[in-house]
Amino acid sequence: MSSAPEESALLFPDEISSSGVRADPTEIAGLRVVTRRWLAKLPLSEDQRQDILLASYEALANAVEHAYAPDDAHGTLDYEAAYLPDEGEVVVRVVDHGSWHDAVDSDARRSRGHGLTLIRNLASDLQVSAGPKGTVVEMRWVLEETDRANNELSSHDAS
Amino acid sequence: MVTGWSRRVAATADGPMCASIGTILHDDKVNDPMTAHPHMTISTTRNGSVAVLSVNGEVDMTSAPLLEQEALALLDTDISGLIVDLSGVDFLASMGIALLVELSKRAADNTGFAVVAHGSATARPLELLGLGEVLAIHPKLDDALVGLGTSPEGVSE
Repeated sequence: MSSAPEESALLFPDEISSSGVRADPTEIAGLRVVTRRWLAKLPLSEDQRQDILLASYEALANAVEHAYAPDDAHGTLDYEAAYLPDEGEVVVRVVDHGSWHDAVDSDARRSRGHGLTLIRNLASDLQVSAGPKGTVVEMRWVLEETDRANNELSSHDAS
Repeated sequence: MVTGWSRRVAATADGPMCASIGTILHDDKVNDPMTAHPHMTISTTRNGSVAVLSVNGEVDMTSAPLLEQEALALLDTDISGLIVDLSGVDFLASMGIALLVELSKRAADNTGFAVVAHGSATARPLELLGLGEVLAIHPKLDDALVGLGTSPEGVSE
């Protein structure tokens, strides 16, 4: 397990959120680190943790790639992830304040098609609402009853 | 939860799996022992005429271009096969996935191409996208080597 020794005494935060994050690849990599730590403390299966981590990153990457012109240094996004045990779900929301442009610069931005397809496959539910002031991507995961074993993690069992 | 730490494990070496064949590889030329990125490292080894790109850490939109550069450079050499080993990868974004597909297309003509992946972070998203049909994905490096017609036991000189 990671981090602090006395952690068991603390409750994990139900929610993480950051607003006004610069829409830039390095910034969203930072959000991924925060998200991974947060997910590690939630009672989820390993598959579900990875699904949430990846889908969240893909939504963030989409905002970075498509919401703003490549030379726009002022684009920002808002990010929220919430664990809602009463509703039995995890919700992640990515909001940008630009307008999605089709990535015409096809060569360098090949992830696009795969990105949304991946999110659709990874999340229980995906809602994308685009308006004049930006786009909201909201993803939901239904919490699983059991916390499946993490056996597959013991990967390097080479002879 | 262990995932967060696989990066640390990866940082110590190429991982046990590679180490098993590592001794054989010493005689072969090593093109580019280690290429680093803040959250990804790549090392290249040769097993006969097959090149193995072992990737550790996280493949995302910042690190995928470096992987692409390394892989394309290898495809320009006289290798008969290229294996991208994701055993040490604990995050694979769509940009990395798209790169694997691209590499398999580029390699198709005269070079074999295979991917080593297992688990939630790598094999799972590849499967979810149905890429098991497009890419030769193996859970272990030895299987990938066999798949490309190279014996993992090696390559006696």
